[in-house]
Amino acid sequence: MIEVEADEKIIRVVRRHWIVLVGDILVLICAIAMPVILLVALHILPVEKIFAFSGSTFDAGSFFLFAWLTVVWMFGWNIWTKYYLNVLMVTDKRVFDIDQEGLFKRKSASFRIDRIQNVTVDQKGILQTLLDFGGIRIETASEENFVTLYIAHPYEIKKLINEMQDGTLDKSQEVHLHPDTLERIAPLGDQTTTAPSSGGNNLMNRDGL
Amino acid sequence: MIMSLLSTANFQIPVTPMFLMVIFCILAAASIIHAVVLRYHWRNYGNGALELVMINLIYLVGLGILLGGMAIFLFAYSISK
Repeated sequence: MIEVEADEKIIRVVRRHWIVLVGDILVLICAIAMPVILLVALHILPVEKIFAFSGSTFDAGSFFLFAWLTVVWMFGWNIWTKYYLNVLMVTDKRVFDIDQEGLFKRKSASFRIDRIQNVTVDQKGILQTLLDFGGIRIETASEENFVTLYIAHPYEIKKLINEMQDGTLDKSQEVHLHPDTLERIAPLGDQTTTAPSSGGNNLMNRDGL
Repeated sequence: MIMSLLSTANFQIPVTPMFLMVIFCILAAASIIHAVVLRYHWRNYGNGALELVMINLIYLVGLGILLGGMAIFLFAYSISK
């Protein structure tokens, strides 16, 4: 599993737009069609002069067809795994940027939502605008920026991250004004002021404002 | 040009059942290693247990069919004359 803490809630998992798969799918289609092309070539090329079959040519051909499809099957799963495990994940605490560049090349970065300074969406061209995908750049308090390209619905993600960030900031401010906290610290302030009803006013009165 | 070269070539690759068996063994070994690596990725970096089961099922069933097909035609080739 992705290194999410037990009390952390996954809000959204975003993948790259399906358009990035089009090139790979075309390669796969060509690979699947390759035996057909080869079959035509077999009638043109003098295969029987190169290969000496000891049994049925049909059986040998079918064997090679299945062997080729096995290679294509494995290749296809590599493509799908790379696509599916390459995610941008938003939790209630952090944003994970996971780059699955290959079966043995993986980069995982995470940063706290309250550390995000700026979220920029970069959509270029008619295709990205019409199909609603593009790059998203997240700037954090550190110097490192996180860029994820070809993300589906980037504006939606930006809005979500902004909302999460606002929520986290509000929550962090609420801690200081929470009534329970104030009740615990109220006896310390009773020497100077009387206890008023609301938490917010409580702080203000104790400070003599 | 290529065709004339091929037709005049005085070598032949013998496609024997043993030759096909070697190809089958290499591909079977490669697919098993690939399956282990792929399962590792889906188990460790996937989003859920159900997803892992689905992926395993689809991948392994597909691989089984393809390797099974290879084995059947290998057998058929070895008994055919």
